[in-house]
Amino acid sequence: MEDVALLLAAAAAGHALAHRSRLPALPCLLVAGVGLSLVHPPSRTALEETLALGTALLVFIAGLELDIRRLGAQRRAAVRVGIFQFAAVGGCGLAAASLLGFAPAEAAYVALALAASSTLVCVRLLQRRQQLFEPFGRLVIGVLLLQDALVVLLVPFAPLLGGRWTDALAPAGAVAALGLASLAARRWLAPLFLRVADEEELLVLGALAVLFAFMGAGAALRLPLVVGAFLAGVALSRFPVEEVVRVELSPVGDFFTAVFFVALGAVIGVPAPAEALEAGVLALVVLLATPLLITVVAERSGFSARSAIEAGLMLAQASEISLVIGLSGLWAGRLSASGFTVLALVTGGTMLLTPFLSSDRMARGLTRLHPARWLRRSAGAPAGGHVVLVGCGSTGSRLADLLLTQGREALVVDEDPAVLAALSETGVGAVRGDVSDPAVLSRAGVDRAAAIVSTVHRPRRNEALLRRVGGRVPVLVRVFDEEEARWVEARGGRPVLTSEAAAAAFLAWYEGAGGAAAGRRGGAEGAPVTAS
Amino acid sequence: MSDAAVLFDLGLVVCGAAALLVVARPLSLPPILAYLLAGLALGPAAGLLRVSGSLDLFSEMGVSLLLFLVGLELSLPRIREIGGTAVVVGVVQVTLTAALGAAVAAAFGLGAAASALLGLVAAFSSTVVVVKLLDRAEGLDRPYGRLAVGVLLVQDVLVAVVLTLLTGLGPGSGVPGRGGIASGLVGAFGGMALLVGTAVLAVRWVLPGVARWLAGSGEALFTASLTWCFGFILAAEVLHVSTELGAFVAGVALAQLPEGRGLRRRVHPLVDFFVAVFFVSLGAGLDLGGAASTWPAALALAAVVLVAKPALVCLLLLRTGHDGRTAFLSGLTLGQVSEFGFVLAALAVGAGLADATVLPLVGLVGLLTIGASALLVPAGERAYRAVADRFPRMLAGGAEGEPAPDRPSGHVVVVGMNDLGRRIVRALSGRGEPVVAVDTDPVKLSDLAVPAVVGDISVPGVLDEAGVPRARLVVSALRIEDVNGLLAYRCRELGVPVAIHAFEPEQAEELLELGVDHVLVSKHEVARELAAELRAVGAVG
Repeated sequence: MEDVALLLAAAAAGHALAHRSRLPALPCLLVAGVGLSLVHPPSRTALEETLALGTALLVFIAGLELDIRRLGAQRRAAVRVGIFQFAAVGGCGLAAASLLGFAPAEAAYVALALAASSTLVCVRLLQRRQQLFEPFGRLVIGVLLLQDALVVLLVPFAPLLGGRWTDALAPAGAVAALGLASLAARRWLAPLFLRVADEEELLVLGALAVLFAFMGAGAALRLPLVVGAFLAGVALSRFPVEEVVRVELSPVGDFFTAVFFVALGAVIGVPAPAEALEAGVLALVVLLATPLLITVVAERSGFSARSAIEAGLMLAQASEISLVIGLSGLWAGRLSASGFTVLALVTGGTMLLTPFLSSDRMARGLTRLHPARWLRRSAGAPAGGHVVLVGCGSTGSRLADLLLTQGREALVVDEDPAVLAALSETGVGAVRGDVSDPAVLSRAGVDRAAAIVSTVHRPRRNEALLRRVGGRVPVLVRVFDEEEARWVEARGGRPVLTSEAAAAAFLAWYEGAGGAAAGRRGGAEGAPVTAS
Repeated sequence: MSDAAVLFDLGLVVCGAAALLVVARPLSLPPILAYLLAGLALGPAAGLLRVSGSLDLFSEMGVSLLLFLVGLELSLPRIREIGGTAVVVGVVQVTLTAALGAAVAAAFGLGAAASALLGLVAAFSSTVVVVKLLDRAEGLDRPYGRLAVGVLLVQDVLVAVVLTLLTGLGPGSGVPGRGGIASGLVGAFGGMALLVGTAVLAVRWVLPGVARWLAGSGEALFTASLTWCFGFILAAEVLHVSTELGAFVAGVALAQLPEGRGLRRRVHPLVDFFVAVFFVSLGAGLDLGGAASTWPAALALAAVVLVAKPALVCLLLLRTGHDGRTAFLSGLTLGQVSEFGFVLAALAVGAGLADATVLPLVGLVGLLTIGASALLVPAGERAYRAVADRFPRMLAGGAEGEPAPDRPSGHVVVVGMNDLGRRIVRALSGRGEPVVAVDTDPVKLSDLAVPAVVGDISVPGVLDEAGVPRARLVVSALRIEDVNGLLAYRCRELGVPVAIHAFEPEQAEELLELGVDHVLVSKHEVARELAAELRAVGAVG
């Protein structure tokens, strides 16, 4: 009981630290664990049991997420980017670890650990920035799902590196058998799950029973704990089962994962300088290789340069799964305690850097450095009377279509080479650059335009534009809240509030078909999507 | 492999519990009974499960967390609402039932200490069983349900006192001579006073500030609350007060905060898990082989619990001016043994106050009364009519199934108080539509003039509180796809019309596939608005 209280107290301190500093929680929890080990180390058994249970739940929840439906249209791109990134970063990791003098099996664990990026960190950041459902957010999620699956399912093979290939046959068969069982359960049993488990209590225990059943089967097949736990999650990863289970299990998961990371920190203790140095080298591999590779492949798959760069920066860290992989190696006796400490350092360190690396500023700076292959300047400055579209995402491109059908001259200002490439096929003129750059504004002929529409993500970036033509030329600025609207208005622009437009559309629906649909229970079939 | 032993044992417990729950549900047996049976099957019957150190720890955590949860339900307004009635009925009922139970036990030839213990076991009813049964029978909001819960809470305080006494008398104080008992009592009550005092001071000066600071981060608040709980458990251990009492006081303290309600919903699944471990371990540890010889005493005690105790509660409530239906149903609801009966028995045996033979007896009485209760409470109305026919004068009055007070219905639920959600709420309520607003952040709800529910709409409790099943329309302005998807699914299952915000156009199709009545694509709407503005300035025809 004392150990539980201590681990919890350290977890609370870690969370409070993360809350205050707005850093990812995991490194803070690790640090709290290291602190705890200095002040009052918990007992060996308490730590080991916490680690075992935490591993099981963490991987189980990762398996639950594996719902392809979540990827939307980015499915193929995510698979392509994910596989390439996994192979390339894994390869770099293997090479780096071998150069640092790790034994082959040990290097295999390190490589697997480096190839995974952190779902916890990325999803939290994407949520906070409301980018989860932008195409690049979807790409990131897709890559994360794929990485988790690849990494976990390859764990049984890590200890075999450098051995005979025939040794891999037994685990391959076992993984295939358990995987098939999991997919079969997902197909036929998961739909029944909610019908049987329609109560809170049964949901919690039922989901945990599935977890333990798969872990038991995995143990019988001599597979590492993580494989069974992950495939148990996959077995339930079907909408809506997966959502319901996740909601019900989240307190149990939060409890065990919080103490899990603290316990990890307590096991590691204070690292030696040599370990820190090795960790630095491996962290560099992750921080350099991941953004570069993902940017290149994502852009090839049709993403805008900005999105590709953002996805690469976002994914440049090791994962909580890396720690679990490390533990697997430690338990299998293939990874040394020192090797594990190095992995934990890489994970914590790269996670701490992610909020800074993936900031808007960094992405914008790197987009400017992008070698432009698609630069097609409009011939000379426009004569005037045209409409300038600043930003050409899903809203801007609708307006571009409208102008095109009306035969009005439109000119797009956007930083993104891939967006501009897509535009060049439609015949809409374009200027590549940032809206805050006076030279770009001149090239777009903003002073002589009939109107300007800005749909950039952050309205305040229109400051230079508004100062230059505000009040003289109509500047319509899409904004997301009323404070932004006031800001635009004060500078002579005409704000158009997203929420106002959407609320008005909702009320129009409500007054018409919606009111009627709401009146009769059961809802309307095939109600129209509101679209222009 | 790391500690496979704990995973194996826990796996057995969880799988057994889940399997028995699935079997027990169509038979409408309460989960607790299912767990005990699972434990019996795994332990004494199959010999698979031996309760080891870690399972013991989990069980201990289960009981403590359960009392933490009970404490979390005990907000001051609720204490006031239940008023003196519950205190009077609770205290008198416990005293008289304990005396009767002890007398019956003594009549079957049990020793003085064992008889006293069995009296206590008979006197207390199970909060978990009752709350679960009432929840399913939709009785929590009815007068009899509120009274029953009030009596249970009074009992919980009494349980805490009894546990303290037993701990004070425990093996630490050596031979229970008079001086030993006295110093034990003083020490125990001193410790109790210290815990309560700390809690009172913290509620006034420390907790509200900490809770407000952490309000933005659910995980931080959750771990901090659990730390608070386990801190009290540790303090109780140090002060030689029962750890259960420590957890209970910690829970009561947090219940006084505005965050208490949300916290209860989060702690609940955790408690479900640990309590399941507790009961399965309990079942696995039960030795009913010895119970075969004690069945006459067990039947007599079960009769006390199932007949005499409810009758007593009913009479006391009639005396205090309640109508016949309410009095009868409250009594019926309380007719079972508490899970703390097992704890009490184990403690008493551990303290050398009774010999181990009472454990199977208590186990048998528990199985009998909890099982009977689970069958009787859902059929309460029928039982009332049958009995009221016999005593028409005494048990008259009380409307059948009075409607629960002010539960919203026929309203529009708006989820997510971002700019869009707030606009929709204002527009609808401006048209005189009844609206309920839902958000996880109390600050965003505070300046709206409509009823508000604080919480995550994914959690079934929040869904109910907002009255979604009876709503005429549910609108989500959220930009969180998972939550929107789950909400769409649940609304379709309930047959409630739903309109959902798709922040990115790609989400629209998926939502329509889920059977959503209307998808609000805000990026398309704003494009349309921009086009209209372009027309207004003459840039487009």
